[in-house]
Amino acid sequence: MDAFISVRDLHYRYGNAGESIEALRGVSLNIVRGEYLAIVGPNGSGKSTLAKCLSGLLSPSSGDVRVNGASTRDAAALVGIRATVGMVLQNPDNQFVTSSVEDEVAFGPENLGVPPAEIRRRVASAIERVGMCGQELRDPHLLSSGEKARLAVAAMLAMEPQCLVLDEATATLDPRSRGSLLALLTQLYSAGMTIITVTHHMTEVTRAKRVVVMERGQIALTGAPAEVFARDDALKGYGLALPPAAAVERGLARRGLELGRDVVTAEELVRRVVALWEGEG
Amino acid sequence: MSAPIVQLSHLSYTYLAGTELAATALVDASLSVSEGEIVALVGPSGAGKSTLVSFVNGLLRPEEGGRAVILGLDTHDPAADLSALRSQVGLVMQHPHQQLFERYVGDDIAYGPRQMGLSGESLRGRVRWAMEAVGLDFETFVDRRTFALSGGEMRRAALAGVLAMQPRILVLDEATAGLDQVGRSQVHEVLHRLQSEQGLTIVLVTNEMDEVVDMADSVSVLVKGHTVASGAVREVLGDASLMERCGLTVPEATELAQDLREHGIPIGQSLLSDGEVEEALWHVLHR
Repeated sequence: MDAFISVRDLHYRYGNAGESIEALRGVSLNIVRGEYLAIVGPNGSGKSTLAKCLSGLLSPSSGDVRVNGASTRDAAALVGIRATVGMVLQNPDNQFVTSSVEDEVAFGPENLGVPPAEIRRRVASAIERVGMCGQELRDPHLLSSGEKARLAVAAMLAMEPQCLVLDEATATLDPRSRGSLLALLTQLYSAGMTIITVTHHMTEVTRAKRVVVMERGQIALTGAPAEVFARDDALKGYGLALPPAAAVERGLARRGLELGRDVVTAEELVRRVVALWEGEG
Repeated sequence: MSAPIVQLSHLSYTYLAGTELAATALVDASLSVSEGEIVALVGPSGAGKSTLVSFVNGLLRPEEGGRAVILGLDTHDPAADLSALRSQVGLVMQHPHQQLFERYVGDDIAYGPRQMGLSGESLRGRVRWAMEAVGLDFETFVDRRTFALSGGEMRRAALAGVLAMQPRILVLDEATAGLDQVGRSQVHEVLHRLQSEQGLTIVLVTNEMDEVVDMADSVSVLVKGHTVASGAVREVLGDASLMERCGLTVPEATELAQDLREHGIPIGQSLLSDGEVEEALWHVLHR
């Protein structure tokens, strides 16, 4: 299957020649359509830089990022790429430019030259999908942080992207708002959207189908959540913790009680504990 | 128990009061912190947490009705010396880029202590101490440009800049959001050390229930401008129905324990950490 997004030997440097930091040092990665990918890694490992390169916000210092075959270095293709791959930042305040929820959602398609009737349809549909009906006239800057995150997603959905990239979009959300944003992502994923999420929350990572672990600007580890979390020694070296269910399983395994190293979610842990309990009872 | 070092009582606050844009942030909020204590302040977004902690360093002062006494200073008193207060109350803000303004990391961290009169070797020593305290290697980062820092490094630099003033009270407004696990444990360790060695008092605003479990001696819950609960961490966070009513969730480990109990596994209520769940399961399953 052809890659939807292909990354080849990607390098990215911040700053100028005299004083620069190499944030990405040779990253290669293929992302197929409809994937749910989590990018994790310690602070400064290049996660956010990679996310910004994937959505064309940053252009490679060397190497190549292609979306549907078009290079993000190609200025003529960039408008199309940014409409295809929508990016949601950690502080959406920085990306709001209008004074009402509906204007904010309309802003992207307006800039793409979408006809007015179609804009109205998209705005209504995007606002509905993120559950913000009735809030069309509120000022984006006065929304709660959970609402801001959902508005940022709606603004991207109105561009009808094939992929959403979220850069620590849940980091400052309260637990409820985080839960509702994650449920929204799962729903979009089930509807066929490609989801790429940068996060420090390991429980969020267990929702993804594939995990990429970044370390010092390179990919250190990749695989399904159960495969990646099975490498707990390596993860510790990368400054990453285990999700609670896996941490409990490892703790019990160290005491000689094996439930299986592939346990990463609470549901799976409960299932195995119950089986053992009833088997003994 | 010693008298509270921070005593906020029945505070109310409305932004842009008297205008069309008036927005009520606090209705009846209180917070009491003893010297050397770590108190967590939690609540759904929009509850007024950031507004409430703005009273701790005198950024906001009480209107009629409420009272704010910090380090013995009643901030309602027009004669109160707020600049003295601010040098003793360090505030680390939610967005570190609002806090970093110098071109180089070292200069940024030196700014506060320099204002307090430090210079030369003692200033350099203080900057080094603050940087190492938050896990930023002095040699590597002192001449790094602030713009070249990653998000996590920025948070540490912002924290170092405040610690460098050696405040008596530290207010952290979601200051560890976005830090990786190692960074967060490093910061937690530093704060615990400052608490035990220097009696630092800490007010921790956070959305991370696991951070409350890790760090706090007690916790206060704010909902829509009202203080609705406060007490020991296990009492408050382990109470699923209280948390539910407040629009919050219990810590992940607590939820896991509840799941297990609902499936007939006889483990105790209000377990708060992975370690406690592991211990409880071990006792049940190990025969």
